[in-house]
Amino acid sequence: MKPFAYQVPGDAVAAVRSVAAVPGAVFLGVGTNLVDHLKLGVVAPDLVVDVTALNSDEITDDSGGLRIGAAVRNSELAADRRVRERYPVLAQALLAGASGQLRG
Amino acid sequence: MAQSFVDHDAFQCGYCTPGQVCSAVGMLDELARGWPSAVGTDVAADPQLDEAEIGERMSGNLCRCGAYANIVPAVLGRVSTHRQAGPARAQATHGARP
Repeated sequence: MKPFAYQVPGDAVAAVRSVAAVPGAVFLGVGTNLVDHLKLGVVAPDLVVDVTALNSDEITDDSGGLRIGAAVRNSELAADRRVRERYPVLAQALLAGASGQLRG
Repeated sequence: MAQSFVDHDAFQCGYCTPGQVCSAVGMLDELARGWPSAVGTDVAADPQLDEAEIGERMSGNLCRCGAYANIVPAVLGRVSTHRQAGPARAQATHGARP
């Protein structure tokens, strides 16, 4: 894997500024796919900006639906009682993806 | 759990065994919290532990020796011992020898 700089910005504005300043810089959100691509050489950025902690990991009721934060893990979403009762196809699709340990 | 693997001869070379034991403990914890799996046809129902559920929930751990035939009974055996021992004793056993 090609070496790269790693940053954990304190807020969204700083994150955007960091990525905008370096050509080819990428955001890292949890990272299951990006880390695979880094290892395989599919992408080789000079800078990785980790925004995992900046995203919401909450699932909240919203206007008759659900608002799902970008950092909600697949397993937690599939296990959410509201998803299982109101959106079972979503839960089934999440559970069919990979195995539990890799699902994120 | 480790003792149950020994009791059920749930390994051959032993290479994958630490991961199998850790996965089994973690999987049972998820099951106790009512997390569904891809096995159940009704995701809203509380999952019940059986051989199919163990196979699905342990599916990330491969055993090149093919000891699955004994790994599944080892996990079921651990659950059965846990229930017979009762919550208080099972908790103590769990802490001393997960």
